[in-house]
Amino acid sequence: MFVRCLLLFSIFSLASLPAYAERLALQLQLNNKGFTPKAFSLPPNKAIKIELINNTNKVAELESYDMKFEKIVVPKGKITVFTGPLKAGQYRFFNDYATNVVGIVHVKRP
Amino acid sequence: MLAVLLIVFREVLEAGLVISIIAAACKGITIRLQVCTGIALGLFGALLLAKFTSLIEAALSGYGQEIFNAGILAIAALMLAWQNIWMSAKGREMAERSKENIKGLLLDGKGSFAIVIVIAIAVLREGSEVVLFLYSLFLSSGLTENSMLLGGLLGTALGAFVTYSLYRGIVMIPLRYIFSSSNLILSLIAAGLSSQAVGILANIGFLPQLGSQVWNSSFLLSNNSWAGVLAHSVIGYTATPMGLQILTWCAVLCVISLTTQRLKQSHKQNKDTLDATH
Repeated sequence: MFVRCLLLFSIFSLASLPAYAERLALQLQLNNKGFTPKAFSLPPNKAIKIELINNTNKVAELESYDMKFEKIVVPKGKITVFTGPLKAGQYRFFNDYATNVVGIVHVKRP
Repeated sequence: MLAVLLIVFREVLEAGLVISIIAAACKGITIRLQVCTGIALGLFGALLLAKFTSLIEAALSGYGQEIFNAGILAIAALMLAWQNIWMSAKGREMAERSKENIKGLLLDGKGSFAIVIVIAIAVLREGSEVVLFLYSLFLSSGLTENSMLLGGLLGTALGAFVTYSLYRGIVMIPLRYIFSSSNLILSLIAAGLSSQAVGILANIGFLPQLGSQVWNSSFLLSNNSWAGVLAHSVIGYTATPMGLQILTWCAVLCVISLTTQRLKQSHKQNKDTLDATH
């Protein structure tokens, strides 16, 4: 029974992989003044990847509670975080290693 | 400096909270050595991890860090489950031996090696972040203006102190009431770790999400609040869980409690038949 469930489960997960193959990519930079861009819009129900380049000379952590990612980026380093599909609404991301370095994602139909 | 102190303090506290609760839930078996070994191993691992963070990030076509994190979370969950089951088996063994032997049995905590790994992983996760953060402060602030670094170090010390007080506090509360079911507490932590692990894998598309946001309980307990962050690191709370996270959470909880329950029951039956023959 368990094995059968596991088998079904893995087939199911394999089948769902192609849906995530095409991700909407976004470029983001962290400078001493904060994120650029500070806010951007995205369509709903799309898998998303956000690339961040850290131009400061301090370690930063790109984090979002509602988009469920949390990743460290070393100075001059580059990271990619993954999220979505998102429902319409506002989402917040921030640098966890600084105070008040925040960005907003607006998810709405174009 | 104060901001830095707070950031580091929070990271240390997050790991410390998990350690305190696990240590308190395992009270009754001597695990001081295991806890210390775990912390030392975790710190060593954190240093290594901090050094290779960008390497891990680059590995496996950008999914390296996610797979690594999910992997260590899953290991921690497995170890907790093992510890849980081991403890109920130990309880059975204890009942079968005479009173004099029990003391010796409790002192040799060999079976609880799993605790070493769980604690090492808790320290590893938050520790590597603290190490990286402090290291970059050290580099960027230089030797002349290092009040930031001082703040970081103070934060670490304060976090360790609060963690220890917390542990003493939890231990002092009459254990009978709060930790009467340490099984449940350890299972909750294991369930939380597993749901975080599958959440990470589902985010990168390695597992189906089964609904990206099944509900939104931010109005009850927001992930942005202090309580929300603590609930996240202890029982894996998230305000907008994926279907897969909910399923995993429940499944892990069920499997662990059923297994330990069954072990206890079979022990009781054994005892009953033993009594009947006498």
